[in-house]
Amino acid sequence: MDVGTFIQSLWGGVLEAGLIAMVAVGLYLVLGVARVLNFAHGHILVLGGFCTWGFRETYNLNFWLAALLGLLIVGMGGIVMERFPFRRFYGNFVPIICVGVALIYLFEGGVVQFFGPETKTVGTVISGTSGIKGWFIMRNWDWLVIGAGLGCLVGSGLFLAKTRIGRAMRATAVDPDTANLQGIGALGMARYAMFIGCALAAVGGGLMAPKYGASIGVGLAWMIKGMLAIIIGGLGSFYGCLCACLLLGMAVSFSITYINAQAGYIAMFVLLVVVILVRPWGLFGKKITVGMPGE
Amino acid sequence: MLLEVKDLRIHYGGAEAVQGASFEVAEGEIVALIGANGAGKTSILRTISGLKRLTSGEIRFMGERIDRKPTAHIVRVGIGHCPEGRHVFMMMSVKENLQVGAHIRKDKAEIARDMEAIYQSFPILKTRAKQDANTLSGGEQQMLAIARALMSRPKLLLLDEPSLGLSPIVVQEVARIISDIHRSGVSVLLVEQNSVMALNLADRGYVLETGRVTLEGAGKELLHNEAVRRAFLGG
Ligand SMILES: Nc1ncnc2c1ncn2[C@@H]1O[C@H](COP(=O)(O)OP(=O)(O)OP(=O)(O)O)[C@@H](O)[C@H]1O
Ligand SMILES: [Mg+2]
Repeated sequence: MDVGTFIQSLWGGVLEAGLIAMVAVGLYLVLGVARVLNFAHGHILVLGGFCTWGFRETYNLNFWLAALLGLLIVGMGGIVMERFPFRRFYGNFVPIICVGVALIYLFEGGVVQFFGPETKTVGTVISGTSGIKGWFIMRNWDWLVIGAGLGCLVGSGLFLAKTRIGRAMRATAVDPDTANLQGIGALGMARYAMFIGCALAAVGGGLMAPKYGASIGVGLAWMIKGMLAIIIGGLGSFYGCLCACLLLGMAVSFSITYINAQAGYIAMFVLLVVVILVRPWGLFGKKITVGMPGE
Repeated sequence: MLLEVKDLRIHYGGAEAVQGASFEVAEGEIVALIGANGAGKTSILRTISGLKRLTSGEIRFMGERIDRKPTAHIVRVGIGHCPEGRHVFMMMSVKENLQVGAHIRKDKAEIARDMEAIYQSFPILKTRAKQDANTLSGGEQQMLAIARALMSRPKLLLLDEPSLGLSPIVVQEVARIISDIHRSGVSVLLVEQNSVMALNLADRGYVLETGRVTLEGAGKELLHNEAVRRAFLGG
């Protein structure tokens, strides 16, 4: 086994992990703070890509400006989603899932209607490669994606850990009633969570677009990857979620390198099964009892 | 009148937990609300704070109707609530718990000053400032929960069974803290099953039985009342 390929896969794993995390962190926040499992969250990521593509195509905007606009628009869209469909069903999990599924139809139908079904290509922004010859080489763009992704994730981690709103969001996630008694409005927190979650996903979609293009069909797959990260990491654990993203990224990248291009999905599945067989509450989750009562 | 509760009725589904309770707290008072398990004490406090909605009746705070207002608003107008069972934020440090308690305030310097004052009156919280709240003992958690409620600078503090599960010595400590808080100018509505402790502290008291106020009077008076003694003090 040559070291170069190995290290190459390692970085490929980091890249994949970063993208998964851009979805997973948003899902995590919205699930924790608003108790909403947004099935359309992966589509939000894709919509971020579409916004970037649209602004470049139509107005010939600079990529970064387009991505920034995408972030803002999709983030605002998150606030609308919170306010209009989700808020009516807080506390009732099944209708919330249905709303997510309905949003998927809305997004897919809307995109196909207005932009057509084909994958949109967004021209590369930075070309060339760098790295250490004979060891590992990556496209400059991929380096940038890793950097930007890490920046966003560290940023949101710090936001949760250190700021007044971040603390309030954590308090709401663990004990909504008591958080309320500190004067923290649950609806306000849900709005923050939805904005941040959707904005992060939009950044992910924007960063992905030059490499994979923007295609509405892949939305659900991303949502499921994010969901896997949350379950493997352990519900309610932010760092668990990030670790799980890293594991998932590595599983995908290594199985693609050493098995074949289709093995990524199986590898994620195997990872999930192994983790929940040993620790049903996930890597860093709070220990829970599982199984049917009385059995 | 600081807090006025009139003909309060509270239902859980079809069951009426509170059946027309009325009481008041004047500015500067400690008022005790005592009653056995299931009398409806917690339900009343949760309803004052807006976590639970009343079926009928009204609640006024400094003249304003607050019974349809969201909890966050009720905290902002000056009602702090230290819930039954403490409910400190377990995975947050002691300091973060206090910071969350100050959520409605933005005056950073004043918050820091209040936190120092809290550390003065609860030295144990200062030594544990960086530790997660779940490493504290029950008594320490109770201190933290009270301190957290003070961080919002309430005019009225609702305390739900602060003596629950604490040893007699720690109960005395809690009683001392409550009278300190009162002396610093905060009015207190104290819910307790430990009626000796509560009535000793209180200016006035109300006895709650299955959702109704059956007796009211000065604290010391209730402490020596025959019916109260029989019901709560074992003879
Ligand atoms: N969430 C709930 N759902 C249904 N019934 C409830 C709920 N909370 C309280 N009750 C009922 O309302 C009544 C009053 O309960 P509450 O908790 O207010 O009493 P309490 O005086 O605080 O009792 P304790 O001293 O045990 O804390 C009880 O009969 C209880 O069973
Ligand atoms: Mg109670």
